[in-house]
Amino acid sequence: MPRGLLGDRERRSPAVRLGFGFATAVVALMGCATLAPFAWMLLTAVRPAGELFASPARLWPESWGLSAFVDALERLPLARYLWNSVLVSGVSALGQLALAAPAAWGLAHMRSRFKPLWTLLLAASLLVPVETLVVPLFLEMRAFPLGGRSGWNLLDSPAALILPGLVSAFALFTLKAFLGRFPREIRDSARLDGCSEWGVFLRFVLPMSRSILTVLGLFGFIAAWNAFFWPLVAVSDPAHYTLVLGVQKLLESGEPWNVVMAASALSVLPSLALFMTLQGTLARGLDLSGYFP
Amino acid sequence: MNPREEDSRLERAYEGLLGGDVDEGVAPIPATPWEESPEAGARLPGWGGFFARPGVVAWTFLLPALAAFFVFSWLPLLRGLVLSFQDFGLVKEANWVGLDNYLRAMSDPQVIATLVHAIAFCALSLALGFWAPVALALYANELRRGRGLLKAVFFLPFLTPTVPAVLVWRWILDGGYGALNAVLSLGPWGPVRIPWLTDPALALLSLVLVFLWKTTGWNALIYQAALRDVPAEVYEIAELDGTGLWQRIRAVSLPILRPTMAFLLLMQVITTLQIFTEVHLLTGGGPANSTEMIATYMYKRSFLYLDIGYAAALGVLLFLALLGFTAARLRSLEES
Repeated sequence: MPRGLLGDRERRSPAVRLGFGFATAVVALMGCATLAPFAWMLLTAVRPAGELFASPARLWPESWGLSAFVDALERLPLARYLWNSVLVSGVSALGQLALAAPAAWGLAHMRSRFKPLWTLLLAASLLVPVETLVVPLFLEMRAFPLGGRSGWNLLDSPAALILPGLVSAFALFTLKAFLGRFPREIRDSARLDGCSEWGVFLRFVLPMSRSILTVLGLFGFIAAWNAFFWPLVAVSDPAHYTLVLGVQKLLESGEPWNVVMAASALSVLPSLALFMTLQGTLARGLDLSGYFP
Repeated sequence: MNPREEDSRLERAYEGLLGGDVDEGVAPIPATPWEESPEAGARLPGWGGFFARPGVVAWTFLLPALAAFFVFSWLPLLRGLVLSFQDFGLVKEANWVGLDNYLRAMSDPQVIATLVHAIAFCALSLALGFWAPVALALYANELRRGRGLLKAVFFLPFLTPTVPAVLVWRWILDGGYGALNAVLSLGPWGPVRIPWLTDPALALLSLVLVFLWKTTGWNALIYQAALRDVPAEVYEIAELDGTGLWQRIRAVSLPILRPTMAFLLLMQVITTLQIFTEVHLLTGGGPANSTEMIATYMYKRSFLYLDIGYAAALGVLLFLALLGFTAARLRSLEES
């Protein structure tokens, strides 16, 4: 049982109790400040547009209504954006793992003459900021060298959002560090029993790393779901907007704040739902992040 | 686990990230027979035999990922490097201009301004928010009840997509109709109208506040995960020794957290240098360019002015800066 700095006896002393109570008050205040923006989002979304322009703002709405949500749903093809986001994030996350897991296993346990070179190049990918890649990727996606004479324009398609998200050096190195500790005996005995390398990988390695794969998949999903810079550049046709991009464009098109806040609240919900359902797995993921920063 | 071990564990994890072998202490295991003999797969005829060769098997594991990295990471990086030596807009032909873009970047007052802003942003956020997550983690570690609730609350900003989070902050910080001014107006001094986002002196501070709101809880969770690894005996011994609470924090908790602090500090600098969404949505780099960051400036250069070669040069410089900073940081970690 992990314990803190304070022992049971000390916890009963009045000085410690007073100090702890004070700390609790400070933390509670910080907690309120953390939650306040969410409250303000909802309090703005439920008031009519006429109430937005009181100065200073009225903290508690005078009249309540869901008209802003109705407006937001009318102006945002929510189902469409939601589907775009699910598609892009889901395929990116699964693709990341499908590419990273075998490579991580290969780098951790197999011999290849160029291994140091690959490792170096992959480490460079880890450090390349998205800003450096945005412009070249934009040009690459505009004329993807796989079709047509002057290339294939992938901009304004789900592919433009998915493809660059397929590579994650972070997932690869985290997996490599994890699989590096995979018990060697299991691999060896399975090999002696006539299992192929891919057989070992699919039948033993993948099932045994299910928890870290789930966590990395979740991280990949959330990262793609929240991505803004690349979708902003790669997509200009509203039919391919992701949810967060759609919400931002709503503000840009001059909608009043109550509608923008209603749409924002709706765009936060899927992340929350995902968090609620996968809370346990995520908690384990935080343990892992302690090991592999 | 003692702090030295913790240090070396983190170092090992870094090496894992940068390619060294993670289990460095383990003696290499002698190769198993099928790895030794190149003919192992040769008994099988045809393609089956080809794919059973160890060298080829390794390639089947590595190739898909390497191909994807080549197309979506290394090739764009190379393309960016090439572009940085060109004068290129989307609609005109590319001209080779040698080092012109780099020379321009060195003397561009806007670039120097973004550098100053990044340093100011970093310094402000460290001054205001470096210790908060540490304190929060120490507090959470003492809790017997309600830790789950605390974690959930502080995890929330990290989980919320940046766009809606930043949009609500923009509305809260609005000078005329925002909630922050409304709350401050409740004080005895009467109504205030502080232009949080439109005053050049305040905009950067507002950005820092939003950034801290988003990161403090997450950092606290990482610190807390590190604290949990401390065996209970360490605390018990410290308690039996009769050392005071403050002493115990300094002698036990902080040394354990130090590698995590170094790591998060590095992450903070890296994130600060790359910050885009928050700035783009909160201030757009304004007012009067007082919050322009390198990423927003690059965005404007490429997609507003179609000055793509120049933006690519800035991208290369940013990459080099990150590389240099990370290398220096890791080296100092190794030395200590």
